[in-house]
Amino acid sequence: MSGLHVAIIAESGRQYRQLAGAIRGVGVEAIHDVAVEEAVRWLDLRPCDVCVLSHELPGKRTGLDLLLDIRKHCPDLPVIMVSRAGSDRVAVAAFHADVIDYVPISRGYEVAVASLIGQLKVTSRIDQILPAQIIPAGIDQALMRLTYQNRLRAVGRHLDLYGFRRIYILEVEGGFVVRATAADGRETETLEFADQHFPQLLASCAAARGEGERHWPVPGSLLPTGYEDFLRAVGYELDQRAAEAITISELDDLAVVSGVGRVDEYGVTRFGPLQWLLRRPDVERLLDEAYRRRAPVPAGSVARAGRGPAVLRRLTG
Amino acid sequence: MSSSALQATTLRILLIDDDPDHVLLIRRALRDLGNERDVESLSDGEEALAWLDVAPEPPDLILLDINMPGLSGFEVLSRLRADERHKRVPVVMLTSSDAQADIARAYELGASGYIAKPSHYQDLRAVLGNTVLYWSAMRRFAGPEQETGECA
Repeated sequence: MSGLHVAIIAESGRQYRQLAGAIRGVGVEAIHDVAVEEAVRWLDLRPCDVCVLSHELPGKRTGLDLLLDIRKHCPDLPVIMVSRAGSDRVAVAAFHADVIDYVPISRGYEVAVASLIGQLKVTSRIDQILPAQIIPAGIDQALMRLTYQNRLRAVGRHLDLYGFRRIYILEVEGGFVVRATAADGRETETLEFADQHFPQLLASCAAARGEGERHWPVPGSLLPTGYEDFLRAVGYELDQRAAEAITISELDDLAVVSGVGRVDEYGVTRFGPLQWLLRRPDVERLLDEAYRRRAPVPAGSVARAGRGPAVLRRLTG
Repeated sequence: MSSSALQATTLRILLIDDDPDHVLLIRRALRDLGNERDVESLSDGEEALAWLDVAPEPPDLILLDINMPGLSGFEVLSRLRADERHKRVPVVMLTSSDAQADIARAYELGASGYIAKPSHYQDLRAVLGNTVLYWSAMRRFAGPEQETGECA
């Protein structure tokens, strides 16, 4: 159960019930109906994780007016503004006042708000399992760089920890959005891994596991050693290709990696769209290469330039 | 996550879907994401291919339903991937969430991704965000694929 506290400053009791019902649907129970006239004082006195604020409010004040007052007391409080105003002016003003999102009121808007709060819940959970003080000193700086190899490894570790499956990763500006089926298999969740989370996530990866250690194989799975190893290995290949704008999709017996990067064609390397289709034998070879690469290098041996295993089949480009 | 120089709102999107309810749903989500003015929606594959033939320039993103009367989404996708003008346009398939075989087949034909119906606002937002990055990278490399002069 989420420990998030959500304050709703609504236009009406009906709107509060509508929003609260949807927010409960993403596992948040601590939802508070905050009256407009008490809002600033209430938020000042009580710790609250996120506030949902209607631009249309009873009385003369608008949500924007109230937001400016709230900001004086709670400058860092995440606020989601909802509004029936059809103009961009309100949205722009809201973003200037540092709302985390602006949701126009239309049919189903409460689901969009709940979904945003669901993302905050996951972020909060990441913060709970990775408090800043666990970042140990002396971690190899190579493991902390924001490469695909490192970032995808961190994403994979999180997915392993929480038992997610059937993942779909899309890179967007500032991080990754991951759609994944929850451990109970009933719901698909959207997780966001913003770049600012990665230092903690990477430190946690580095501290948690030795370099030569393998996860237990999972018979019958497309990914025999879980997401951390698989995504780390894929990330290495993407780094080798100077890839960008990547997506990774996992189906029952196929993983698909797409993006833009260096592709080899008729003996010439070009930049363009790349796509790799990986089945179980391809994944196994990819993982084996990754383990070999990370194994201690005997003295005097020469490091092999990484071009990626032959199993990475390019379809387009 | 924040905006970029190439904005999601500038993407030109072609939506090919015969289900008017779903078209409405997607258009509304795209409108909320700022893309309303740049969406062309067509209801069958033949019509879409004809539209693409005469379009002054290819769209930035094609959202393509798999199950349509007449030409299926797979057939449309195959033709797009065989066409030099459209082969680099990301094509995201619209499919039911349990259609694993369909999704796999679409990837084998060169699809860029998929969105499970009924579409989620966040799925669309992520797809648009990724498409912005895709074109940002592609345009940085000056349109046609650029040789690095490096031998494989």
